[in-house]
Amino acid sequence: MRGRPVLGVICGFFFGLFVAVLLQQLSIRPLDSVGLIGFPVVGVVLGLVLAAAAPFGRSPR
Amino acid sequence: MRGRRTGTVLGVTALLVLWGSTAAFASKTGPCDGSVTIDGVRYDSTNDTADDPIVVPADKGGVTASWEGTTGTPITNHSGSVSVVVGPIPIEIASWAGTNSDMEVSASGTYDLADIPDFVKSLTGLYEVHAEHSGDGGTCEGTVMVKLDGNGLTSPVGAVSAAGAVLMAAGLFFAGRGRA
Repeated sequence: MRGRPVLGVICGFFFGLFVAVLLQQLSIRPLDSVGLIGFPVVGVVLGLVLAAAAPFGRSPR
Repeated sequence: MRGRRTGTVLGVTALLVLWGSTAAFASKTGPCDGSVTIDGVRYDSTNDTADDPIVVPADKGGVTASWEGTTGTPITNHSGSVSVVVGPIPIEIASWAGTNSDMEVSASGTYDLADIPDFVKSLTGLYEVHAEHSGDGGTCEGTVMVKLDGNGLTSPVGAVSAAGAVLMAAGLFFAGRGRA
């Protein structure tokens, strides 16, 4: 893993949380269990995938 | 290899976005029913999805909500509550109890939206509201969606969430950039 998995997990978690709250504020979906728990979990997965896929945007050596 | 990586990342991101647009599921059980009329629009227990919520206008001055409820059969020695669902936890915002010795099966009234507490007036967004009423004679439960109208991006919570999401997206980008 060439990326930063710890950074990915932390940022992914809070990214999912902020997106869930933002969707609630924009009246797109309520802050239910899926939003409050599911979105951060998906964010963590996204962070890990990005860290695993690193270096993203560069040609592999 | 690089295409597969990109596909995986795009797949997870698409899942996140699609999930965000899914309407919530809600329901009503028991012999009770009710409705409320706000700004000339009548709402009832069918307003239980994110696409069709009960809309509380942003400008609440002079707006009155007329409500009515029925229980079908008399429910005596009753108690009930209304909660706002936040994640897996319902937060109770009101409760009641009584004997209903008059064996009433309906109630109605009006509520001036200007009387809503100030901290609620500053809120915007979509809320899942759950209510229950039970006693001797029956048990009722129901969930509706309530939309507190307003600009979600200019509310304090919305602005902080938007800024936080952008900041965390930048963090995710650097997580995928790789170590120097």
